[in-house]
Amino acid sequence: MLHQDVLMADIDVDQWRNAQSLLLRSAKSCRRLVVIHDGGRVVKFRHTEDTPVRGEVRTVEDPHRLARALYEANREAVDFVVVMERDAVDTYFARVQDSWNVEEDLDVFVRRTYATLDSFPDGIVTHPGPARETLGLQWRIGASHDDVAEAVADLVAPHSTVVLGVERDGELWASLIIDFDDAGRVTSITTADPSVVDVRGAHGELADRLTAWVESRGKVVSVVLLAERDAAEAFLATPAKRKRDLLNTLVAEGNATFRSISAEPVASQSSSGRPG
Amino acid sequence: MEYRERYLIDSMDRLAGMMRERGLRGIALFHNYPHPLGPGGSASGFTTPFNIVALEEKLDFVGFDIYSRKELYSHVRTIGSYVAATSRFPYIPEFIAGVWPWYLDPGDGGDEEFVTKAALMQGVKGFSRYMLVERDRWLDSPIRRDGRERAGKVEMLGRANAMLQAGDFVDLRREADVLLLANREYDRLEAAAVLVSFPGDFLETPSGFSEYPNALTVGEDTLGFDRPPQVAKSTWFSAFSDALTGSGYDHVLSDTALPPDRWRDRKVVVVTTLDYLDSATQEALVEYVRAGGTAVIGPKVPRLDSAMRPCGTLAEILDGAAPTAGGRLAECGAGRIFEVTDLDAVPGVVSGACDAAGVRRVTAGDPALDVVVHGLPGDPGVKVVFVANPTAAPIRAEIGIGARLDAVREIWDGRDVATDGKTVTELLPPYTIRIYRCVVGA
Repeated sequence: MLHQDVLMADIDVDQWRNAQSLLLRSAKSCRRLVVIHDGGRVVKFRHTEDTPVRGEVRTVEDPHRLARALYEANREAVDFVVVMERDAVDTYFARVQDSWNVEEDLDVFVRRTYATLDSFPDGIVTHPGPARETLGLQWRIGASHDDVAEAVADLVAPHSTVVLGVERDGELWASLIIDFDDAGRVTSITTADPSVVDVRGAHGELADRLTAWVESRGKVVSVVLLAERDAAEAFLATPAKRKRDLLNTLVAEGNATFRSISAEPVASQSSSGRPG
Repeated sequence: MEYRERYLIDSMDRLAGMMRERGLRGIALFHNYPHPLGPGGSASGFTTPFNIVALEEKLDFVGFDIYSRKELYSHVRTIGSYVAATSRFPYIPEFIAGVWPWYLDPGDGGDEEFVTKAALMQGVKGFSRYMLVERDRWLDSPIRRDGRERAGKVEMLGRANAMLQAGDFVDLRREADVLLLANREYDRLEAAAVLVSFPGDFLETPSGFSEYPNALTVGEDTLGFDRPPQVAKSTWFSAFSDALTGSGYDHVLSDTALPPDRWRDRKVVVVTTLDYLDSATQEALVEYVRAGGTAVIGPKVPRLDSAMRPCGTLAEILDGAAPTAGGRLAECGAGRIFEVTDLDAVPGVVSGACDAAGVRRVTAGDPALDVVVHGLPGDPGVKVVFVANPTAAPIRAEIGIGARLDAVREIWDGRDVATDGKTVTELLPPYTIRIYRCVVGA
């Protein structure tokens, strides 16, 4: 989905930071209980903040049962437990690095780094949740890559722009403005620029204003989705198959604005009175 | 592990050679080591695979990049201090002015102002703002791609430049009498003892672990000693660092690759010593002390050299020395060596050593505050005092530098500050650094 030369320019740091906080979760920021073992002999048992933990062991027989037990015994102090076997981790990284191909889309490589964790079901174990959904930098959007690709194929017109935003207390709090080419690949990612477009207002008027601003720069906006902060979080937390229904509800209740050139009509709010 | 250092040095040497062969002689060539620590501050992780001293044999100067937020003050302090005490020209080759898009939780102009002052506080004498003008895959620079300015950032950077150019900043010298040395050979052992090698995490790979050795990834085998040296070295370095920080005895950081003739600028040298220590370093410590310096070592007196051969250079001095609280004290030539064996005794031994050596102690009124004094060689009547509140809470500072204060001016804000002649008292807001230019009396 990523073009090889994605432009990431003219980004507003506040909009960007807020979007990160909404959409991403970093394992590095989590409180982790780390167990490293060498063929079953524990060589490291430590909390990331050096907090005392319960249930220290010297051997690992069943890494899944151990990870679960350690998490249950320490859940107030731990976000997740990771149990790693040394050779497995070395092999995993070697496999990932050996698989890199300069011609390949970056997101294909990155997805593979996470998917490859599944090939080490006993060597790299996390709890709660599987390693590929726990380690590293995770999206918190309630949808898989394939779900997103499907939505893009359904909704995003070729050579068009998607405008996403979150409104909080009458102001645009986070935004992403994403350009797509005719193959549905992302060619540009940026944010609204508060220095040239007024970011105050309710989500409906913000949707109008941002659309007009993007289109004034010669682009075609095929999807606009702006929501109030709570509504945005609810939407992101909802599984992909239920997002459409939730979005309809949010729009109907006045908590979000959604417009799509190619989507089925959805009741929407807009200060300009434009149909959804 | 040493090869990694040489690998970087040799490649830079070859590149520099190519440039010089093609007419770039007479132009300073420098290199930027990346920021190696991130969260965690002074944990002695700034040596291997980096080696400023060795690389400056090939290039004109070497620095480290800084892209930290204000909450990582301890990291900025570590890097700034290490570069200032080690490099022949302390320079930050990439100094935060905006960041790359995949930097998580980026800061703002307030962070950049705080970090600017923090680096100057440590003794940094130059920097390259990275990047002044925004581009693809860089955000929040002071100048946008279309040439429009971010007024707040331009104002801050301009104020920094004006302050530096207005006086004699380049001539200021940090008056730090204490040198805390990271022990490079122990850091190499730590790197060799990593249980799993994680690749570089610039793009946040799934490991979630840093590629640099740390407590989560370093093995804990004792390797035949009574304690794992690769773990003990961090415990003791941190203990020495914590004892000095907030103590009022200003100190700078370097490592055991620093030529011993540069130790003579300091009254006290502090270094972690375990069962083994390079024989040349042992001899250098003894020579430094004989010439009048004060050394603080511990927790062990080494009896082996780096190759694990018997080496009693330090042991001959300490054996039979008088016991003290937490260790031993040996007089040697014109100086002395304090050995501290008990972790809890480190603050007391460090203070005792600094007092015995006549190290100035500044007062701040709160141990959370950091105070650094710079002076002008040849003009004892001027001091520039940096006071940092690196916390999220306001702190009332009562600053005394052991000299009569005739006049005080905060030179970033451009305002005169009242003084009773002995102290300056001000409430420092969270994440604030004040820069006081003081006229001091005899």
